[in-house]
Amino acid sequence: MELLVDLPPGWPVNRDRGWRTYVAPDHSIRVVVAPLVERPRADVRQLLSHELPAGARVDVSAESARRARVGWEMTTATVRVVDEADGEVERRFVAIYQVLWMVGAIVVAGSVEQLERRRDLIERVLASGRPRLRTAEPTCVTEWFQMEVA
Amino acid sequence: MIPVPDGWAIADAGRWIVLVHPAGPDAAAIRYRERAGAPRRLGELVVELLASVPDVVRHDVSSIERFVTDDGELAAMVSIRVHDTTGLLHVHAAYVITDDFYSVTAGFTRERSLEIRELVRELGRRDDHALGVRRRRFEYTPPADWQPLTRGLSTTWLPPGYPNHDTRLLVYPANPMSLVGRVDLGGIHARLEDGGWTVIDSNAVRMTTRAALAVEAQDLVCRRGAVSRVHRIAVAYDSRYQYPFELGTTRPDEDRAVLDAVIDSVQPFAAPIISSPAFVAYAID
Repeated sequence: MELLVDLPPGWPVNRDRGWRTYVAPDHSIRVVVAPLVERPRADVRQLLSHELPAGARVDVSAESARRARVGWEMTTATVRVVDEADGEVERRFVAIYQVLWMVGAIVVAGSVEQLERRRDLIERVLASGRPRLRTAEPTCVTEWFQMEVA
Repeated sequence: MIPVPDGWAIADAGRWIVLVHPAGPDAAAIRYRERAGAPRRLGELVVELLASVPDVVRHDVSSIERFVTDDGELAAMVSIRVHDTTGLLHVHAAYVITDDFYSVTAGFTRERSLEIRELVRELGRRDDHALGVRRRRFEYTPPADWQPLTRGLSTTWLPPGYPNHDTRLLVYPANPMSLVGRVDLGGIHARLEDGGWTVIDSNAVRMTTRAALAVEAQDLVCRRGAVSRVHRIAVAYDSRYQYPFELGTTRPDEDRAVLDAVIDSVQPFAAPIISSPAFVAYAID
C-alpha cells in the first residue's frame, strides 16, 4: 500500500525505505511522499524532521483541515525550516491524510519564491493524494491465475 | 500429493520430491513440492520456478490452461520453452492454488515434451490435498479499477472515487451449507438497526447467474440522520455452497449494476471426483 500523487510527467523519483522523493526537472521544488503507516505508528515529528539539514529545526504554522479531491481527510500545514540563527533555509507545505486505519503524508519543499511560483501545481499535487490499497499479494481467486506480476 | 507413475524412480532433493524417468534423468525428471508457500500470482510462481533453472538465455511461456483437480481444487498449467546454454529445455508446470498454499508439479525434458506435458497435466489433476468441504474463497470477476482490502477470506472492494463515492462491496468466502446452514437474510435487518440505521423500505430480488446459480437478494433502504443508504445482501447458491455478497451504497442505481455483474461472474466449485487415494510412501525407495 502507498499514497499516490499526480505529478507532471518527467519528474525523476528516488525510492528509499518506503519514502519517494520526486524532483522537478528544473530542481526548483521536490515532492516527498511518506509511506502509509498505521495510525498508532504515525509520527509527525519524524515526518517533519525528514531530511532536515544538520542543525536546522522546524517551525510549524497555519494548519487547516479539508478534504483531498476524492474525499480523504487532509490536514495541511506550512513549515519553516530554520537554521541555528533563525534564518529560513527552506519552506515546506505538508499534507497529512487519514486513510482508513492508516496515515500518509506528502511534503512539498523549496524556497518561498519557488513554492509561490508553483502554487497552483502544489495545490493540485496535494489534492491528488489518495491510497493505492492493492499489495503484491493476490486479493481474489482471479488474481491467482494471472501471469502479470503486481 | 501426486502418485508416482509406473516405472519412475523416486529421488530425494531437499524440499522437492524428484521423480526420474524410466529411461534415466537425461530423458526427463519431474519435481514436486507440496505446500510450497503462500498463494501468489501464477506469473510470480513461474518466475520463481525459472530461477531454479541454470544458464537460462531466454524463455517463452505459454498461455495458462486452467483445470480443476479431482478433489476439487483450482489449478493451472503452463509450458515454458527455455533456451539455455545447452539448447532447448521444455518445462511443463502444474500448479494447485488454495487459500493457504500452492503446490507445484514441474516436468523437465529436452526430448519428450509431449509425453511429459501430458504426464504433468495428469499428475496435477490427481494432486490430492484432501482439504474437503470448507469455507473458501471463490472465483468472480472483481469490478474494474476498484481497490481491494482483504480480511481473512473476505475482500472489500472500494470504488475509484472512494470515500466521496461512499460505497463498499464486501465479498465473503463461499460457505458450505452442510456445515453452516443457509444465510439468514432477515438477520441483516436487525444488524443495521443495531448500528443506528432505520430501515424504511425493503425489496426481495431474485436472479439467475450465467453459471445457473440461483441468487436471492434483499435491498434495504436505510436512513441514519441525513444519510440515506441502500444495503443489498445477495447470496448465490449451488447445491453445496452459498456465495454471499454485501453492498452498502449511497449511489444504488449505479452500484447495484456493479454488484449484479460481479455476482453474475461467480464460478461455482466443481464437485470432487471420488477416487482411490494417491498416498504413496515417498520415503521408501
